[in-house]
Amino acid sequence: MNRNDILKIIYQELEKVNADHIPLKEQTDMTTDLNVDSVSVMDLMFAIEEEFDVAVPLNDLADIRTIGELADLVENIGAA
Amino acid sequence: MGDIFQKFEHIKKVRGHFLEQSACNPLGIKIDEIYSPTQARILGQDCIMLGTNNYLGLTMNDKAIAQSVEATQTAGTGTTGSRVANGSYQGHQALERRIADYYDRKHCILFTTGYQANVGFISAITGKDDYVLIDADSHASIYDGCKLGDATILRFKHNDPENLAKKLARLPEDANKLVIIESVYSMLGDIAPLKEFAAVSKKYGAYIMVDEAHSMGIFGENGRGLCESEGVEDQIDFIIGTFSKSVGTIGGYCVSNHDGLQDLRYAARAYVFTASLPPAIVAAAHANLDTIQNTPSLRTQLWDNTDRIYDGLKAMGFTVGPHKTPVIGIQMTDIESGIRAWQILFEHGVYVNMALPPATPAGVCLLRCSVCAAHTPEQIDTIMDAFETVYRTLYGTPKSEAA
Repeated sequence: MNRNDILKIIYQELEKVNADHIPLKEQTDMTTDLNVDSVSVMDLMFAIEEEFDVAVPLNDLADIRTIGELADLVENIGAA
Repeated sequence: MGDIFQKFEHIKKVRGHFLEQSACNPLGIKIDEIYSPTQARILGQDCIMLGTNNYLGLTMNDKAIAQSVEATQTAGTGTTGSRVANGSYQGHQALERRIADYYDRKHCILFTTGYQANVGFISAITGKDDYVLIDADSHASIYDGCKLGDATILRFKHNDPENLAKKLARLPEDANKLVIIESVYSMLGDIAPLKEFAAVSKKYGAYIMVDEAHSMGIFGENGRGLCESEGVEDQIDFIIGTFSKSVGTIGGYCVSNHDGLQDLRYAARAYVFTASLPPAIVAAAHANLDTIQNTPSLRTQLWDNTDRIYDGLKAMGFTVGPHKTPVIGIQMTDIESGIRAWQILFEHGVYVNMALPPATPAGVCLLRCSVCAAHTPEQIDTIMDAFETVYRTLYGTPKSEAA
Protein backbone atom coordinates (compact mmCIF):
# COMPACT_ATOMS: atom_id res chain seq x y z
CA MET A 1 0.00 0.00 0.00
CA ASN A 2 1.43 3.29 -1.16
CA ARG A 3 0.71 6.57 0.60
CA ASN A 4 0.12 8.33 -2.72
CA ASP A 5 -2.45 5.71 -3.69
CA ILE A 6 -4.23 6.31 -0.39
CA LEU A 7 -4.22 10.07 -0.93
CA LYS A 8 -5.49 9.61 -4.48
CA ILE A 9 -8.57 7.73 -3.26
CA ILE A 10 -9.18 10.25 -0.45
CA TYR A 11 -9.01 13.20 -2.91
CA GLN A 12 -11.20 11.36 -5.39
CA GLU A 13 -13.89 10.63 -2.78
CA LEU A 14 -13.76 14.06 -1.13
CA GLU A 15 -14.18 15.80 -4.50
CA LYS A 16 -17.68 14.28 -4.63
CA VAL A 17 -18.72 16.26 -1.53
CA ASN A 18 -16.46 19.31 -1.98
CA ALA A 19 -19.32 21.56 -3.05
CA ASP A 20 -17.30 24.80 -2.69
CA HIS A 21 -14.42 23.42 -4.82
CA ILE A 22 -11.79 24.14 -2.19
CA PRO A 23 -8.30 22.97 -3.28
CA LEU A 24 -7.50 19.72 -1.46
CA LYS A 25 -4.12 19.38 0.27
CA GLU A 26 -2.75 17.11 2.98
CA GLN A 27 -3.20 19.97 5.46
CA THR A 28 -6.87 20.50 4.56
CA ASP A 29 -9.08 20.10 7.63
CA MET A 30 -12.06 18.06 6.45
CA THR A 31 -14.61 19.52 8.84
CA THR A 32 -13.59 23.16 9.18
CA ASP A 33 -12.07 23.85 5.74
CA LEU A 34 -14.43 21.70 3.68
CA ASN A 35 -17.54 21.73 5.86
CA VAL A 36 -17.85 18.01 5.16
CA ASP A 37 -20.11 16.37 7.74
CA SER A 38 -19.11 13.38 9.85
CA VAL A 39 -21.24 10.99 7.80
CA SER A 40 -19.47 11.94 4.55
CA VAL A 41 -16.08 11.25 6.15
CA MET A 42 -17.31 7.85 7.33
CA ASP A 43 -18.77 7.13 3.89
CA LEU A 44 -15.50 7.79 2.10
CA MET A 45 -13.93 5.09 4.26
CA PHE A 46 -15.90 2.41 2.39
CA ALA A 47 -14.02 3.22 -0.82
CA ILE A 48 -10.67 3.16 1.03
CA GLU A 49 -11.51 -0.08 2.82
CA GLU A 50 -12.43 -1.76 -0.43
CA GLU A 51 -9.42 -0.51 -2.37
CA PHE A 52 -6.86 -1.47 0.27
CA ASP A 53 -8.66 -4.37 1.96
CA VAL A 54 -8.55 -2.88 5.46
CA ALA A 55 -11.15 -2.23 8.18
CA VAL A 56 -10.87 1.14 9.91
CA PRO A 57 -12.66 1.35 13.28
CA LEU A 58 -14.80 4.46 13.85
CA ASN A 59 -12.93 4.97 17.14
CA ASP A 60 -9.78 5.83 15.18
CA LEU A 61 -11.60 8.31 12.95
CA ALA A 62 -12.70 10.45 15.88
CA ASP A 63 -9.35 12.27 16.18
CA ILE A 64 -8.74 12.69 12.46
CA ARG A 65 -9.04 16.22 11.13
CA THR A 66 -6.81 16.59 8.06
CA ILE A 67 -6.49 14.60 4.86
CA GLY A 68 -2.83 13.85 5.75
CA GLU A 69 -3.83 12.42 9.15
CA LEU A 70 -6.39 10.19 7.47
CA ALA A 71 -3.76 8.89 5.03
CA ASP A 72 -1.41 8.17 7.98
CA LEU A 73 -4.13 6.23 9.76
CA VAL A 74 -4.94 4.05 6.74
CA GLU A 75 -1.23 3.47 6.09
CA ASN A 76 -0.65 2.40 9.72
CA ILE A 77 -3.65 0.07 9.78
CA GLY A 78 -2.56 -1.47 6.46
CA ALA A 79 0.94 -2.02 7.77
CA ALA A 80 -0.21 -3.60 11.05
CA MET B 1 -11.42 34.46 25.30
CA GLY B 2 -12.39 32.82 21.99
CA ASP B 3 -15.91 32.44 20.65
CA ILE B 4 -17.19 29.15 21.98
CA PHE B 5 -20.14 29.34 19.58
CA GLN B 6 -17.93 29.62 16.47
CA LYS B 7 -18.45 25.92 15.77
CA PHE B 8 -22.14 26.52 15.01
CA GLU B 9 -21.45 29.04 12.24
CA HIS B 10 -22.02 26.51 9.48
CA ILE B 11 -25.34 25.35 10.95
CA LYS B 12 -26.38 28.99 11.34
CA LYS B 13 -25.56 29.61 7.70
CA VAL B 14 -27.82 26.75 6.62
CA ARG B 15 -30.60 27.93 8.95
CA GLY B 16 -30.25 31.47 7.62
CA HIS B 17 -30.62 30.09 4.13
CA PHE B 18 -33.98 28.63 5.11
CA LEU B 19 -35.20 31.85 6.67
CA GLU B 20 -34.24 33.82 3.56
CA GLN B 21 -36.37 31.56 1.43
CA SER B 22 -39.35 31.37 3.69
CA ALA B 23 -40.92 33.37 6.48
CA CYS B 24 -41.85 30.02 7.91
CA ASN B 25 -38.80 27.89 8.70
CA PRO B 26 -39.45 24.18 8.05
CA LEU B 27 -36.81 23.29 10.64
CA GLY B 28 -38.27 25.48 13.38
CA ILE B 29 -42.00 24.81 13.24
CA LYS B 30 -44.04 25.72 16.28
CA ILE B 31 -47.40 24.06 16.66
CA ASP B 32 -50.14 26.34 18.05
CA GLU B 33 -52.63 23.63 18.88
CA ILE B 34 -53.11 19.90 18.37
CA TYR B 35 -56.69 18.93 17.47
CA SER B 36 -56.32 15.21 16.84
CA PRO B 37 -53.62 12.68 15.90
CA THR B 38 -53.88 13.96 12.31
CA GLN B 39 -54.82 17.64 12.69
CA ALA B 40 -53.14 20.70 14.15
CA ARG B 41 -52.95 24.48 13.78
CA ILE B 42 -49.49 25.66 12.76
CA LEU B 43 -48.70 29.38 12.45
CA GLY B 44 -52.42 30.09 12.43
CA GLN B 45 -53.19 27.57 9.72
CA ASP B 46 -55.08 24.28 10.05
CA CYS B 47 -52.95 21.40 8.78
CA ILE B 48 -53.20 17.68 8.20
CA MET B 49 -50.27 16.13 10.01
CA LEU B 50 -48.32 13.92 7.60
CA GLY B 51 -45.06 14.27 9.48
CA THR B 52 -45.39 12.55 12.83
CA ASN B 53 -44.43 9.10 14.01
CA ASN B 54 -47.96 8.56 15.27
CA TYR B 55 -48.48 5.52 13.02
CA LEU B 56 -51.55 4.11 14.75
CA GLY B 57 -53.00 7.45 15.87
CA LEU B 58 -52.97 6.40 19.51
CA THR B 59 -51.81 9.70 21.06
CA MET B 60 -55.42 10.49 21.89
CA ASN B 61 -56.67 7.00 22.69
CA ASP B 62 -59.50 7.47 25.25
CA LYS B 63 -58.51 4.43 27.28
CA ALA B 64 -54.86 5.54 27.52
CA ILE B 65 -55.88 9.09 28.51
CA ALA B 66 -58.26 7.83 31.21
CA GLN B 67 -55.71 5.45 32.70
CA SER B 68 -53.00 8.05 32.52
CA VAL B 69 -55.17 10.58 34.41
CA GLU B 70 -56.02 7.95 37.01
CA ALA B 71 -52.33 7.05 37.44
CA THR B 72 -51.45 10.70 38.00
CA GLN B 73 -54.20 11.06 40.57
CA THR B 74 -53.08 7.99 42.49
CA ALA B 75 -49.26 8.07 42.07
CA GLY B 76 -48.46 11.69 41.21
CA THR B 77 -46.90 13.57 38.32
CA GLY B 78 -43.38 12.13 38.58
CA THR B 79 -41.23 9.60 40.38
CA THR B 80 -38.35 12.03 41.12
CA GLY B 81 -35.96 9.11 41.19
CA SER B 82 -34.05 6.45 39.31
CA ARG B 83 -35.24 2.88 38.96
CA VAL B 84 -32.37 1.82 41.22
CA ALA B 85 -33.40 4.28 43.94
CA ASN B 86 -36.95 5.47 44.68
CA GLY B 87 -38.28 5.36 41.10
CA SER B 88 -39.30 1.73 40.65
CA TYR B 89 -43.08 1.64 41.13
CA GLN B 90 -45.42 -1.29 40.74
CA GLY B 91 -46.50 0.21 37.38
CA HIS B 92 -42.96 0.02 35.96
CA GLN B 93 -42.60 -3.59 37.01
CA ALA B 94 -46.02 -4.54 35.63
CA LEU B 95 -45.23 -2.82 32.32
CA GLU B 96 -41.91 -4.66 32.03
CA ARG B 97 -43.72 -7.97 32.62
CA ARG B 98 -46.38 -6.98 30.10
CA ILE B 99 -43.80 -6.21 27.40
CA ALA B 100 -41.76 -9.36 28.11
CA ASP B 101 -44.95 -11.45 27.80
CA TYR B 102 -45.95 -9.59 24.62
CA TYR B 103 -42.64 -10.56 23.01
CA ASP B 104 -42.61 -13.98 24.69
CA ARG B 105 -39.18 -13.18 26.14
CA LYS B 106 -37.86 -13.75 29.64
CA HIS B 107 -36.69 -10.21 30.31
CA CYS B 108 -37.59 -6.61 29.64
CA ILE B 109 -35.90 -3.47 30.88
CA LEU B 110 -37.57 -0.05 30.56
CA PHE B 111 -35.73 3.16 29.75
CA THR B 112 -37.02 6.72 30.01
CA THR B 113 -36.76 7.34 26.25
CA GLY B 114 -36.02 5.30 23.14
CA TYR B 115 -32.82 7.31 22.72
CA GLN B 116 -31.72 6.29 26.20
CA ALA B 117 -32.60 2.64 25.49
CA ASN B 118 -30.07 2.57 22.66
CA VAL B 119 -27.45 4.68 24.40
CA GLY B 120 -27.83 2.83 27.72
CA PHE B 121 -27.93 -0.67 26.29
CA ILE B 122 -25.15 -0.35 23.70
CA SER B 123 -22.69 1.56 25.89
CA ALA B 124 -23.15 -0.80 28.83
CA ILE B 125 -23.18 -4.19 27.14
CA THR B 126 -20.03 -3.69 25.08
CA GLY B 127 -16.63 -3.65 26.74
CA LYS B 128 -13.07 -2.86 25.82
CA ASP B 129 -12.25 -6.13 24.05
CA ASP B 130 -15.61 -6.38 22.28
CA TYR B 131 -16.57 -5.42 18.74
CA VAL B 132 -19.73 -3.62 17.66
CA LEU B 133 -20.75 -3.70 14.02
CA ILE B 134 -23.32 -1.10 13.03
CA ASP B 135 -25.26 -0.39 9.84
CA ALA B 136 -24.03 2.78 8.13
CA ASP B 137 -27.49 4.39 8.26
CA SER B 138 -27.98 3.80 11.99
CA HIS B 139 -29.89 6.33 14.08
CA ALA B 140 -27.90 8.91 16.06
CA SER B 141 -28.77 7.13 19.32
CA ILE B 142 -26.91 4.03 18.09
CA TYR B 143 -23.85 6.09 17.14
CA ASP B 144 -23.99 7.85 20.50
CA GLY B 145 -24.26 4.56 22.38
CA CYS B 146 -21.15 3.36 20.54
CA LYS B 147 -19.29 6.59 21.32
CA LEU B 148 -20.03 6.26 25.03
CA GLY B 149 -18.84 2.65 25.19
CA ASP B 150 -15.33 1.20 25.10
CA ALA B 151 -15.69 -1.33 22.28
CA THR B 152 -14.14 -1.21 18.82
CA ILE B 153 -16.78 0.09 16.41
CA LEU B 154 -16.97 -1.05 12.80
CA ARG B 155 -19.46 0.31 10.29
CA PHE B 156 -20.81 -1.82 7.45
CA LYS B 157 -22.59 -0.70 4.28
CA HIS B 158 -26.29 -0.02 4.68
CA ASN B 159 -28.48 -3.13 4.41
CA ASP B 160 -25.52 -5.14 3.10
CA PRO B 161 -25.13 -8.52 4.87
CA GLU B 162 -22.21 -9.40 2.59
CA ASN B 163 -20.24 -6.35 3.70
CA LEU B 164 -21.05 -7.27 7.33
CA ALA B 165 -19.78 -10.82 6.73
CA LYS B 166 -16.53 -9.44 5.31
CA LYS B 167 -15.98 -7.35 8.45
CA LEU B 168 -16.93 -10.17 10.84
CA ALA B 169 -14.55 -12.56 9.09
CA ARG B 170 -11.59 -10.36 10.08
CA LEU B 171 -12.35 -10.41 13.80
CA PRO B 172 -10.92 -12.81 16.40
CA GLU B 173 -13.13 -15.87 16.65
CA ASP B 174 -13.36 -15.81 20.45
CA ALA B 175 -14.14 -12.08 20.76
CA ASN B 176 -17.63 -10.85 21.68
CA LYS B 177 -19.30 -9.32 18.67
CA LEU B 178 -22.57 -7.39 18.56
CA VAL B 179 -24.30 -6.62 15.26
CA ILE B 180 -26.72 -3.68 15.35
CA ILE B 181 -29.39 -3.02 12.74
CA GLU B 182 -32.76 -1.32 12.50
CA SER B 183 -35.72 -3.12 10.94
CA VAL B 184 -37.20 -0.06 9.18
CA TYR B 185 -35.02 3.01 8.65
CA SER B 186 -36.57 6.27 9.74
CA MET B 187 -35.71 8.45 6.76
CA LEU B 188 -36.39 6.40 3.62
CA GLY B 189 -38.59 3.76 5.24
CA ASP B 190 -36.43 1.02 3.77
CA ILE B 191 -36.47 -2.46 5.27
CA ALA B 192 -33.48 -4.50 6.47
CA PRO B 193 -32.94 -8.03 5.12
CA LEU B 194 -33.39 -9.51 8.60
CA LYS B 195 -33.08 -13.18 7.65
CA GLU B 196 -29.75 -12.61 5.90
CA PHE B 197 -28.38 -10.47 8.74
CA ALA B 198 -29.46 -13.06 11.32
CA ALA B 199 -27.81 -15.85 9.31
CA VAL B 200 -24.52 -13.95 8.91
CA SER B 201 -24.46 -13.06 12.63
CA LYS B 202 -25.04 -16.68 13.57
CA LYS B 203 -22.34 -17.93 11.17
CA TYR B 204 -19.72 -15.73 12.83
CA GLY B 205 -20.95 -16.26 16.39
CA ALA B 206 -22.10 -12.64 16.83
CA TYR B 207 -24.97 -11.40 18.98
CA ILE B 208 -27.57 -9.41 17.05
CA MET B 209 -29.69 -6.47 18.19
CA VAL B 210 -32.60 -5.08 16.15
CA ASP B 211 -34.11 -1.65 16.75
CA GLU B 212 -37.81 -1.92 15.92
CA ALA B 213 -38.65 1.77 16.54
CA HIS B 214 -40.39 2.25 13.18
CA SER B 215 -41.87 -1.23 12.77
CA MET B 216 -43.40 -2.08 16.14
CA GLY B 217 -47.19 -1.77 15.89
CA ILE B 218 -46.94 -1.86 12.10
CA PHE B 219 -45.67 -5.34 11.15
CA GLY B 220 -46.59 -8.79 12.45
CA GLU B 221 -49.84 -10.44 13.46
CA ASN B 222 -49.49 -9.11 16.99
CA GLY B 223 -47.79 -5.89 15.93
CA ARG B 224 -44.45 -6.87 17.46
CA GLY B 225 -42.58 -5.70 14.39
CA LEU B 226 -40.61 -6.90 11.40
CA CYS B 227 -38.87 -9.69 13.34
CA GLU B 228 -42.34 -11.16 13.97
CA SER B 229 -43.57 -10.81 10.38
CA GLU B 230 -40.28 -12.20 8.99
CA GLY B 231 -40.37 -15.13 11.43
CA VAL B 232 -36.86 -14.47 12.80
CA GLU B 233 -37.65 -13.54 16.42
CA ASP B 234 -35.94 -16.65 17.81
CA GLN B 235 -32.69 -15.68 16.07
CA ILE B 236 -32.53 -12.15 17.49
CA ASP B 237 -30.76 -11.70 20.84
CA PHE B 238 -31.99 -8.22 21.72
CA ILE B 239 -34.91 -6.15 20.50
CA ILE B 240 -35.02 -2.44 21.24
CA GLY B 241 -38.32 -0.60 21.08
CA THR B 242 -39.79 2.80 21.76
CA PHE B 243 -43.10 4.20 23.01
CA SER B 244 -42.72 7.42 21.03
CA LYS B 245 -43.98 6.08 17.71
CA SER B 246 -46.84 3.56 17.48
CA VAL B 247 -47.33 3.51 21.26
CA GLY B 248 -48.08 7.25 21.16
CA THR B 249 -46.21 8.39 24.27
CA ILE B 250 -42.54 8.35 25.32
CA GLY B 251 -40.16 5.71 26.67
CA GLY B 252 -37.95 2.86 25.49
CA TYR B 253 -37.25 -0.77 26.24
CA CYS B 254 -35.06 -3.77 25.52
CA VAL B 255 -36.31 -7.37 25.54
CA SER B 256 -34.21 -10.53 25.53
CA ASN B 257 -34.03 -14.13 26.66
CA HIS B 258 -30.48 -13.61 27.94
CA ASP B 259 -30.55 -13.52 31.76
CA GLY B 260 -27.65 -11.08 31.66
CA LEU B 261 -30.00 -8.33 30.51
CA GLN B 262 -30.94 -7.83 34.17
CA ASP B 263 -27.33 -6.83 34.95
CA LEU B 264 -27.86 -3.70 32.88
CA ARG B 265 -29.98 -2.32 35.70
CA TYR B 266 -26.70 -1.64 37.50
CA ALA B 267 -24.41 -1.05 34.52
CA ALA B 268 -26.37 1.10 32.05
CA ARG B 269 -25.72 4.69 33.05
CA ALA B 270 -28.69 5.97 31.00
CA TYR B 271 -30.85 3.70 33.20
CA VAL B 272 -29.22 4.35 36.56
CA PHE B 273 -28.60 8.08 36.41
CA THR B 274 -31.97 9.36 35.25
CA ALA B 275 -35.47 9.55 36.68
CA SER B 276 -37.85 6.76 35.73
CA LEU B 277 -40.95 7.26 33.58
CA PRO B 278 -43.79 9.18 35.27
CA PRO B 279 -46.86 7.09 36.28
CA ALA B 280 -49.03 8.76 33.61
CA ILE B 281 -46.69 7.64 30.84
CA VAL B 282 -46.38 4.10 32.20
CA ALA B 283 -50.19 3.81 32.32
CA ALA B 284 -50.62 5.25 28.80
CA ALA B 285 -48.00 2.89 27.36
CA HIS B 286 -49.66 -0.07 29.06
CA ALA B 287 -53.10 0.85 27.70
CA ASN B 288 -51.83 1.50 24.17
CA LEU B 289 -49.86 -1.76 24.10
CA ASP B 290 -53.12 -3.58 24.85
CA THR B 291 -54.78 -1.68 22.01
CA ILE B 292 -51.92 -2.45 19.60
CA GLN B 293 -52.05 -6.16 20.35
CA ASN B 294 -55.83 -6.47 20.37
CA THR B 295 -56.74 -4.23 17.43
CA PRO B 296 -55.22 -5.66 14.23
CA SER B 297 -57.71 -3.53 12.26
CA LEU B 298 -55.51 -0.49 13.07
CA ARG B 299 -52.69 -2.14 11.13
CA THR B 300 -54.99 -2.98 8.23
CA GLN B 301 -56.14 0.65 8.11
CA LEU B 302 -52.55 1.92 8.29
CA TRP B 303 -51.47 -0.29 5.41
CA ASP B 304 -54.52 0.69 3.30
CA ASN B 305 -53.58 4.35 3.81
CA THR B 306 -49.93 3.58 3.05
CA ASP B 307 -50.95 1.88 -0.21
CA ARG B 308 -52.84 4.97 -1.33
CA ILE B 309 -50.15 7.50 -0.44
CA TYR B 310 -46.99 5.56 -1.42
CA ASP B 311 -48.48 4.20 -4.66
CA GLY B 312 -50.00 7.59 -5.54
CA LEU B 313 -46.74 9.51 -5.02
CA LYS B 314 -44.77 6.94 -6.96
CA ALA B 315 -47.25 6.99 -9.85
CA MET B 316 -47.06 10.80 -10.02
CA GLY B 317 -43.32 10.52 -10.51
CA PHE B 318 -41.87 11.34 -7.09
CA THR B 319 -38.74 9.46 -6.04
CA VAL B 320 -39.72 7.53 -2.93
CA GLY B 321 -37.86 4.92 -0.85
CA PRO B 322 -37.36 1.40 -2.22
CA HIS B 323 -39.85 -0.31 0.11
CA LYS B 324 -43.48 0.48 0.80
CA THR B 325 -43.84 1.31 4.51
CA PRO B 326 -45.69 4.04 6.45
CA VAL B 327 -42.38 5.98 6.48
CA ILE B 328 -42.25 7.64 3.07
CA GLY B 329 -39.13 9.66 2.28
CA ILE B 330 -39.52 11.70 -0.90
CA GLN B 331 -36.10 12.54 -2.32
CA MET B 332 -35.85 16.09 -3.65
CA THR B 333 -33.23 17.08 -6.19
CA ASP B 334 -31.82 19.86 -3.99
CA ILE B 335 -32.55 21.92 -0.88
CA GLU B 336 -34.21 24.73 -2.89
CA SER B 337 -36.78 22.43 -4.50
CA GLY B 338 -37.26 20.74 -1.13
CA ILE B 339 -38.11 24.06 0.52
CA ARG B 340 -40.41 25.08 -2.33
CA ALA B 341 -42.24 21.74 -2.15
CA TRP B 342 -42.54 22.00 1.62
CA GLN B 343 -44.03 25.51 1.30
CA ILE B 344 -46.59 24.48 -1.31
CA LEU B 345 -47.68 21.57 0.87
CA PHE B 346 -47.95 23.87 3.89
CA GLU B 347 -50.00 26.41 1.91
CA HIS B 348 -52.35 23.56 1.02
CA GLY B 349 -52.69 22.57 4.68
CA VAL B 350 -50.37 19.56 4.68
CA TYR B 351 -47.47 19.33 7.14
CA VAL B 352 -44.52 17.02 6.43
CA ASN B 353 -41.04 16.83 7.99
CA MET B 354 -38.14 18.27 6.12
CA ALA B 355 -34.91 16.36 6.61
CA LEU B 356 -31.42 17.38 5.57
CA PRO B 357 -27.96 15.79 5.63
CA PRO B 358 -26.28 14.51 7.76
CA ALA B 359 -29.56 13.22 9.22
CA THR B 360 -30.42 11.77 5.80
CA PRO B 361 -28.61 9.02 3.87
CA ALA B 362 -26.45 9.81 0.81
CA GLY B 363 -26.65 13.57 1.36
CA VAL B 364 -30.20 13.94 0.02
CA CYS B 365 -32.89 16.45 1.00
CA LEU B 366 -36.02 14.59 2.02
CA LEU B 367 -39.67 15.39 2.50
CA ARG B 368 -40.30 12.84 5.17
CA CYS B 369 -43.93 11.76 5.37
CA SER B 370 -45.39 9.34 7.86
CA VAL B 371 -48.75 7.72 7.37
CA CYS B 372 -51.25 7.35 10.20
CA ALA B 373 -54.03 4.77 10.56
CA ALA B 374 -56.29 7.69 11.54
CA HIS B 375 -55.87 9.57 8.24
CA THR B 376 -59.35 9.65 6.66
CA PRO B 377 -59.97 9.03 2.94
CA GLU B 378 -60.86 12.75 2.61
CA GLN B 379 -57.60 13.81 4.28
CA ILE B 380 -55.69 11.57 1.89
CA ASP B 381 -57.53 13.22 -1.04
CA THR B 382 -56.30 16.61 0.22
CA ILE B 383 -52.77 15.25 0.70
CA MET B 384 -52.62 13.82 -2.83
CA ASP B 385 -54.05 17.03 -4.37
CA ALA B 386 -51.35 19.04 -2.57
CA PHE B 387 -48.60 16.76 -3.86
CA GLU B 388 -50.02 16.99 -7.37
CA THR B 389 -49.68 20.80 -7.17
CA VAL B 390 -46.10 20.35 -5.97
CA TYR B 391 -45.31 18.07 -8.90
CA ARG B 392 -46.88 20.42 -11.46
CA THR B 393 -45.06 23.44 -10.03
CA LEU B 394 -41.64 21.81 -9.87
CA TYR B 395 -41.61 19.21 -12.62
CA GLY B 396 -44.64 19.60 -14.94
CA THR B 397 -47.34 17.06 -15.78
CA PRO B 398 -47.49 14.15 -13.32
CA LYS B 399 -46.42 10.86 -14.91
CA SER B 400 -49.71 9.23 -13.90
CA GLU B 401 -51.52 11.76 -16.09
CA ALA B 402 -49.06 11.61 -18.98
CA ALA B 403 -49.49 7.84 -19.13
